[in-house]
Amino acid sequence: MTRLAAAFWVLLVLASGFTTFMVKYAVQGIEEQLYRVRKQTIAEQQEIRVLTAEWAYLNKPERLADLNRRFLGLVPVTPHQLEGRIDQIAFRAPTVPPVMPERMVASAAALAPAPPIPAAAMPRAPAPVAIVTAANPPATPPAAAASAATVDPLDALIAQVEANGLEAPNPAGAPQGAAPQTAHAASHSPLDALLTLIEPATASAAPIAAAPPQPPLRLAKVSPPPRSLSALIARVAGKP
Amino acid sequence: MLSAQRIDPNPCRPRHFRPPPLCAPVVADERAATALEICRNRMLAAAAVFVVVFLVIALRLVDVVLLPGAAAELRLPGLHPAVLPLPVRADITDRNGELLATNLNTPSLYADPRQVIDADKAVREITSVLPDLNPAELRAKLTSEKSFVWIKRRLTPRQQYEINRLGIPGLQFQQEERRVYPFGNLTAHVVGFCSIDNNGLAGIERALDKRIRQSREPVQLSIDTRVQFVLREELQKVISDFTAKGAAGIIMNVRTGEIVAMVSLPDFDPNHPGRFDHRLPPAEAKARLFDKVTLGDYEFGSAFKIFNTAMTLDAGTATLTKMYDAIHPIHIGRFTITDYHGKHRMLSVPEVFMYSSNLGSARMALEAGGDRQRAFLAKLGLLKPVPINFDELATPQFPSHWREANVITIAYGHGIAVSPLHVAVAVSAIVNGGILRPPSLLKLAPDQVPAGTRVISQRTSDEMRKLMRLVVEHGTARFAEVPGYVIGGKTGTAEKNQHGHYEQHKLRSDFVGAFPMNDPRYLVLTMVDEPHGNKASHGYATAGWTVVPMTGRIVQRIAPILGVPPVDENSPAIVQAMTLKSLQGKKVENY
Repeated sequence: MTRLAAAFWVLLVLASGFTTFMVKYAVQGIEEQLYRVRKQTIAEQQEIRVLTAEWAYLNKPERLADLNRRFLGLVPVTPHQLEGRIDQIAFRAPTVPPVMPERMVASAAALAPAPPIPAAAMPRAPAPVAIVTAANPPATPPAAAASAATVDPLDALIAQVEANGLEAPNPAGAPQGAAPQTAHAASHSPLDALLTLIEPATASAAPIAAAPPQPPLRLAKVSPPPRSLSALIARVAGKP
Repeated sequence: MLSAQRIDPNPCRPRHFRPPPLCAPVVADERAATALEICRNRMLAAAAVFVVVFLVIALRLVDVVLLPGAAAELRLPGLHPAVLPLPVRADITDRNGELLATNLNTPSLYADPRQVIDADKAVREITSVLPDLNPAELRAKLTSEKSFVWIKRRLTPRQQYEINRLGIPGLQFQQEERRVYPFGNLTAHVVGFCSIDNNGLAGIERALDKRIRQSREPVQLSIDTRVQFVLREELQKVISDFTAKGAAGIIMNVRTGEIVAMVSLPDFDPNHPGRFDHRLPPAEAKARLFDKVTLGDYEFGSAFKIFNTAMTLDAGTATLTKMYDAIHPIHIGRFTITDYHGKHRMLSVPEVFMYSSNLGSARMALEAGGDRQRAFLAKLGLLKPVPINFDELATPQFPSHWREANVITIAYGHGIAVSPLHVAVAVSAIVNGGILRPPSLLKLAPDQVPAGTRVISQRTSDEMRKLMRLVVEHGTARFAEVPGYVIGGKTGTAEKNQHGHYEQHKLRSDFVGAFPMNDPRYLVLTMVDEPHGNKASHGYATAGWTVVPMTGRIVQRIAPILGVPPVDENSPAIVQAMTLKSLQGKKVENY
């Protein structure tokens, strides 16, 4: 019995010793691996630093200017190329106009919290006549103003003009009083884009910006978008 | 002699050692008993030694095998944690994050002369790879008694390879960090440079040496390298066009005091600064290190009329409608003061400013008085070094006794010498509504912009802007006009004062302008040293023909970069903002 116990303990000692050494060697192997990885990491970091410096060197303005002279021939921007700002450009009108009665148009606009079209989602520079940026914020938010337009468009228009202290544009010389024109008076509000979407016929004739004074826009004239698929096809076909 | 009986009472004896029983047969042979005794003692000693040794081995085994860390540390030196050892100096970037200064590891070559076998051969071979080393010096180094001598520091990888290939015993490499300036000359004076031991010696490297060493966060400057490049290129052009000796320029944000560009020409390559630049004679190399913008003191000439006019308008001794005598020369002591291109009539204040009349300015200053003049210049910070975190700063030179003659000459910018940075900071305050802010070479977050101190009233500032616009519209700076950017400013042309007298043919022309003048955002100050007239300028080397057209070109190029939109200067709002009531409806005579 004593011998058996002794043998058991001896075996246990041997086994535990063996396991310890196995684990130890495994750890050693992993540590070596770690060492290599770390060494490589440092080498890569060193490399990144060199490449960053090289990238900076390659981006030397002198060198870029020289490359430009040789390959591109770009010249400095002149002031007249910069006339007009991004917020003076109207959003593009859609090609397929949905047909909706006027009353529905305005109420739909009033209900929609944010027009779910990409154009309206675009970030906008502070527009000169945007209601939200007016010196005195109007009591009614744009959407509410538009819903008021359903009650009496002309009243709403006058109220807005008074609130903003700005001249109301008279798009395309059309007589005032109709709902679409009311919408244009509130142009540059988030509504604008939606209403443009809904009313492409008047949108193409809408003013680009309502801010006086208005610097001339030196942009290529874009012909109004075709109003229907057949018109589009006709236009495409008409071009050589 | 020991006996078993005497060992027995020893309490320290090992357990297995039992003394012979007392009843054991007494060995008759005394000698045998003694031998046995000695043997036992020796065995005891040997056993003790073995016990100690095995104990040590066992402990070491436990230490090595079971306790983690100690061995691993030995095998993997310095790799915890797995990041690159931090550079000794932080990076420096421009306001857009372009890298202006960084550190790279480069090999340096050193030798242990005691291990060098054939010094002559080694010298021959090393100089064949590194031809810029002096063979005599190298030989002295390699035959010295020291155990460590630098041979050459900061080698290129190619040079390292070549040296290695020579296989000379006793040569060793050490990795050292080297400061690298990828943009070279472009920001030489602003960023400065370091010694070979990475101590900041000039520019920001010196001014923020502590910060650059302690914190590893990159230092972000207020400089915009694109604007800096435009400024430097145009200054170089004016130097070559007018065969000038040098030029300097500074572009500042007048609303925040941030310096967007700062150039002094001729400049140097911070990668090989000063005497390390072997391509130049030493004196020339040293002169190039001089930063004209911050360290140079210059007489600015008529550009000082900005301060003179602002002072008199703000004090109320002059008004825009008041007339001054520009007919009669002023005689003071042995000097006679006249106008360069005199109108020889009574001039109103706008005319005095626009036509740059020395006589009118002098009379305006005399009317206000020397005390007021001095106090005003002090208020603008023109009588002490500029408050900026930079080491190379000029101390203004001005008369210690403010006599009448000084009042007169200082009115039109002579007899007082300040740095271009002084003028830029002071004029910023004049045009930005009257708030003087300390300049900054570090990028400022909107909430870091100093509140500044009011030096002139808003009204005076508005009037000064109109006057400076007038100079570009009708006065001496008409060539600065660029449609859309409403530039305004003031020219100055000073004869250089050398050894106490003014040299008539050595000029220094300067122009300080801001744009857009209806609501200024940036200030551009340019100066050219000893320009010579050329055909295109009809032989003129005055500011109006040299730095003024250049400023127009600079503004046209940098305004889109700095996000300043062009405006229609004929629009009613701007015409109204820029027109002086006193001149409204009148036809203004051009300079």
